[in-house]
Amino acid sequence: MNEILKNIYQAILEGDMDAAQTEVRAAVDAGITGGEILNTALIPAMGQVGCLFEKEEYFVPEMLTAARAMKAGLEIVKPLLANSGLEPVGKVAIGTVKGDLHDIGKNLVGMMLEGAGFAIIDLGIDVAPEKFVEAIKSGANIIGLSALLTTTMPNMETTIRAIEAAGLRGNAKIIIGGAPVTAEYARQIGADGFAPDASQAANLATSLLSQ
Amino acid sequence: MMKINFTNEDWDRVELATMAWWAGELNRPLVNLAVTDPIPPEKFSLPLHSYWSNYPLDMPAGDIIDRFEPLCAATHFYGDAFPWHWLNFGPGIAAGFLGANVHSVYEPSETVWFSPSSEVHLEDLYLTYDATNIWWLRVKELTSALTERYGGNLAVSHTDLGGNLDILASFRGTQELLFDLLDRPEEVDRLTRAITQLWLRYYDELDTIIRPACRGTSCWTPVWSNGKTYMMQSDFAYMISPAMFERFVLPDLTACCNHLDHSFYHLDGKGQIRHLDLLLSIGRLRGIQWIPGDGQPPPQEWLPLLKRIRAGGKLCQVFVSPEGARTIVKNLGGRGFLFVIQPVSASDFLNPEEAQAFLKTLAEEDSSL
Repeated sequence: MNEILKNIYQAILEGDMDAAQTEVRAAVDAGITGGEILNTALIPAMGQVGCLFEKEEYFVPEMLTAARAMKAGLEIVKPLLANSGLEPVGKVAIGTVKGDLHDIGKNLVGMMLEGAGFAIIDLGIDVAPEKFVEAIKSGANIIGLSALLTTTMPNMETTIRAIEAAGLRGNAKIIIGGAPVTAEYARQIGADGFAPDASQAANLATSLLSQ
Repeated sequence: MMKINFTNEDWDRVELATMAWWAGELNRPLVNLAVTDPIPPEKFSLPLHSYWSNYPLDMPAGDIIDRFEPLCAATHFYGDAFPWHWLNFGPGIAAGFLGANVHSVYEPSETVWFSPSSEVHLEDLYLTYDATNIWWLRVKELTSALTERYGGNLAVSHTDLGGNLDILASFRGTQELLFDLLDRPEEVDRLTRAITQLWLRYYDELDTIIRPACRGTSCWTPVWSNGKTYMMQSDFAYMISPAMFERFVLPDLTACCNHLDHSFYHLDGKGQIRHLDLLLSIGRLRGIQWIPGDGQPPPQEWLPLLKRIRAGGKLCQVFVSPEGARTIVKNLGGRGFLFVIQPVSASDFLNPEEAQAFLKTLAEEDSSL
């Protein structure tokens, strides 16, 4: 790997936002394409962050700062990607379901998905089913539903039923996650997949779109 | 004052057993089995909120306490259970005492949360005691009213003050504080040290209201001591590494343990198990409460963890079904446990004979006896 790309990769692993920006600018100045920066440094670095999280070498603060550094680098690369016609691998609308105000897990998933090359529409917290329906109408091909409480989990099912009722179930894959959520629950309510953490959510979304 | 189904002799009995349990001298578990008879809805003419912050701040304290009286009168106490009032202002009302916004709602469901009252740079954030804070005055007023009404007949809890990082997160926002831990750890150190001192001050001021009037102390979960007890917590710890826990949380817990006679820690969810070794290393921490968390198997399915807690020299509180308690006593012995029995359905233990039969079975099956 090119030395500058190695530096970008390392800056993201260390959560060093300033270094990530500096190195991405250096890469651009050196004529490295946006696509190469994204696919050779930014996405692999976030993939490695996800692995470290799964191995309990990284925890939420480390993951968040890495994602912040990746995002800072991505902001520089985005105009180049647009000019080159490189499209995001998918468009994900993500939100914490109605009645639930928790946002850290949802934010982490959003960041990891962004780091995996997806475009993110963050619908926020306490999101009504209709908002997810609207997001699909706007082109989202993955819906990410988050819930931290057993009392709000049923609103995942309510949201899926609303998407079905709108005749849009075939237009988007639906993935769910959150502390009380299980793979069994995902099957039960008709979701396409469940991820136990943010890193695996990114892998799940990628694999669902490749099916 | 309404009748409480608990006599002075009952208190003497429970005190004797509980203090022996704290001392490690009780050869059986403590079993907290409190059963409330069905109460006709007409007995509650006005809404009964779980969070006392959902009552208007100008509502007379006595009127609020009156609402809970049918509940107290309908409750029967078996085993080592005791009458107890949890003055619930949400998870970490100390943030409200220090000026964070308190959001208390009861529709569509009851909840309380805290948020920053203004955007302040971490370096400019100073948390100070405010004797005139409305939430602090309200908690003191209600604590006093409860102690005056019930005296030594009922344990009046210290309200849920919160964990140090949980309180700080109410001023920073959770995500910002997660960044702060890596970006400006020295500032987090400064603020967590300040919060520890404030926490101890709030604890002691409530203690001066409660202990002269009541029998011992309790907190937001049914644990009691004739000295100073509290269930400490750090929900924030679920997200951080043991290294961060050691730096930002452990000094606070250690200081609180040194201040209290009988301290417990609320180990909430599998993400906190990684901190167990550090918790076991706090010599004056007396016990650990294990809460598996939403969607997880019940406590009796965590026997290796419970064994680790007991082998580490700590007492252990769990909320379990009757069957769950039986599983634990059969496999690990009951000694050192505090079982808060959660009847599986409302029809369980509706009469004293059934409750006593369960306690007898539990004793017979206890492998430590």
